[in-house]
Amino acid sequence: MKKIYLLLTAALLVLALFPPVQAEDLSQIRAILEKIDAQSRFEGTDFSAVLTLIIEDPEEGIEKMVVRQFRRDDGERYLLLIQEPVTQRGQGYLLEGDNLWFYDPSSRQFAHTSLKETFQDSDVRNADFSSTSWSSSYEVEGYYEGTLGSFDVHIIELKAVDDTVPFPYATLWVTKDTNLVLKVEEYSLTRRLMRSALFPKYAKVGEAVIPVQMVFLDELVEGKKTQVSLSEISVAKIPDHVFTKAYIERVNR
Amino acid sequence: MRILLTIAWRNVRQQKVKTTIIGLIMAIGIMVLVVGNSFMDTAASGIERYYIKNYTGHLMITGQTKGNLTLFGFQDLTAMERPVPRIPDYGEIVEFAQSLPYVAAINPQVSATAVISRGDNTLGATQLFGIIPGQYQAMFPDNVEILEGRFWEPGQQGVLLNKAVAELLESQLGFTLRPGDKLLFTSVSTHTGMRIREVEITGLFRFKQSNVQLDMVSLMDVSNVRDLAGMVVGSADPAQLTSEERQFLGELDVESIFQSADSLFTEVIVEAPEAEDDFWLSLLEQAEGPEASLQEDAGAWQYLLVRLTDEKYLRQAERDFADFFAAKGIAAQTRNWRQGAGALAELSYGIKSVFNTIVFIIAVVAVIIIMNTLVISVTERMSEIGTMRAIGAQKSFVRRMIVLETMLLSGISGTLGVAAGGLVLLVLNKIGLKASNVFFEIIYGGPELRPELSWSAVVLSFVVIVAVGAVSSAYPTALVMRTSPLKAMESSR
Repeated sequence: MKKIYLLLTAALLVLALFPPVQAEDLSQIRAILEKIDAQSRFEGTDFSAVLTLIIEDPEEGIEKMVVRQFRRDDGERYLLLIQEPVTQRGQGYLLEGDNLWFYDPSSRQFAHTSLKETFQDSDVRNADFSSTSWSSSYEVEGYYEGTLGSFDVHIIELKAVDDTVPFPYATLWVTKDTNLVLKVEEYSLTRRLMRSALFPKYAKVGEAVIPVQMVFLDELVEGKKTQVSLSEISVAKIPDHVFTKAYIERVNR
Repeated sequence: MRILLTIAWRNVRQQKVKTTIIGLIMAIGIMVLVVGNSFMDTAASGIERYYIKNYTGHLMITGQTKGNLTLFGFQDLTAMERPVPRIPDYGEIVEFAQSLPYVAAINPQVSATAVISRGDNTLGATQLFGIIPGQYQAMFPDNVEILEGRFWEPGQQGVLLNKAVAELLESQLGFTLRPGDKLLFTSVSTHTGMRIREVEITGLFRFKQSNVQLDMVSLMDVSNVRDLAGMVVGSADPAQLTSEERQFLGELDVESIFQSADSLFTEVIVEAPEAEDDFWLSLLEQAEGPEASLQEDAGAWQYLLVRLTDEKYLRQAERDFADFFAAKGIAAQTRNWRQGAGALAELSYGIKSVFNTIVFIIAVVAVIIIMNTLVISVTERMSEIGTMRAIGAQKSFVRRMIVLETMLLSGISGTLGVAAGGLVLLVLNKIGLKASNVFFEIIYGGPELRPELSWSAVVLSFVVIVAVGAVSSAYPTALVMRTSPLKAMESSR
């Protein structure tokens, strides 16, 4: 009998310390996700930047890539042009809505690829170059509060609503005061940790707030990671012809 | 000894029913052993001949690397993560190989896996062997049957599409592929990312001796395969990094990255608009154009296949090449045909081991049955043995008599079993066993198996039958020896 009382008391304590997620909380969390998505989008302006990727592989060593990105969130378009290394120079990725094309200058041919695929040999997925869609692509599974370094954060557990995203499960660490994602852990269907992403630096660009420094860690290969830094940022209007196959072919001539 | 032999032979003849039953069991057991082992030996040598003759050669020279490297690339968990190494100092290795008197032919190869598409449609995938047609045909003269078209001309590009791959593509396309049609080949290389090549079909072919793995292989000019495999000049340039770019290298402490709340936000310079046309068209302009740096690494090969004049030189060749690499400090190594052939050859050997185990279990069961029958047979003759002991027969005499009796029986049934096994194999050899599905094709090492009597199987069977005889007679003999002659004589009452 004593044991039962002890168990009941322990259960009550656990419930008091970690209250279950209420419907009211969930709507608040959904609102946070919507804010995150909204502030990552460039509404009414275009966005361009030079991305420097430092790919570290314990076996292959360190590789540097320089990629020019042009992005127009209205219409879900982007163009990625690889400038370095020379062996990949001119290769391009053109996103037009749901269609992602890869261009190879050596054969002057386009081929279909997917947003879920990794970008070249890095730990970045092609989807990472678009604005985020946490609120529409995922549903909230769990929520609790915690700290990350010196930040008070919401820790939000998410489950994908369809298979259009690279990972079916994700956990976000979001600052309470500014709604900035500091860390993301992404999981496979079997809940195996596949990738972690850290966002140590943000900048306000136009009306949007975007990470300008990111680190993606491959959780399957110890020591493998990719650092992405943004420079030469611009929100100036990009000519429409840039988001076309013809432009990639032309710029490669 | 002669008396013993006479008594033993008389006993064997006198107990006709028992002799027939035990003899039959032994003969069947031996027949199963002979047929089973011969079958497996033929299949194993068939697999060996099949792979060596048709696409691996006796030896495969590659760059030095760990892991399960086959002609199809790495066949382990790291397959997508690392490129197949190039053979260093290729020219020197070729020169050395050609100087060896027992080297009959050599053939260099490059391998890549590519997705095939046409227009917007992804149609399937193929394994590509980048080859020089003349050298490939000289190395494997009997295996490529061109069904339509031809190989590409020297210095030109093209793909000789495997008919099995073509049929897969045609089922998606809805029309028949012909020489002159073009296909898009896309590969994902770990070092150079995605690569696309548009290549014209110069012909359609089939491997005369094929299997599920070879059915996926098409032959392509080496220049295109090198490109698809990411073998281009300058791909190994080391990265020159600034201190900022080195910031997150090495081990990371996530908590410490987020220690300072002030450092989360940073100011960035938002660039002015770029209105000039020049800007948009000069994004890729550098001192060195991409064409120069994307040159194919001509002379780079991943595999050098070596066919020997005779298999007996295999060990010597392995030693000679190892000594040569060590003396010259070349980071290359040899792999035998089985390593080169890949998963399917390994699977064949795995299945062979399973079958050997089954044959072994059958042999153990046969031993138990024979031993049991012999025990009954000897105990039934207890009174006779007791009488022999009572009239002065020594223990050793009785023991030798029983052992000789068993050996005689084993010898006769063994010979009959081998003869019956040989007959069965002769019939199977004449008929030929057709592989009805992929599973049997893997076991047979090809579409048909004609098993031959293996002398090692015959020797093994005789060893087994002698061992069975010795073990089977040991227990009943010991049983008889423990019983006193008086008791033994009484047991008949």
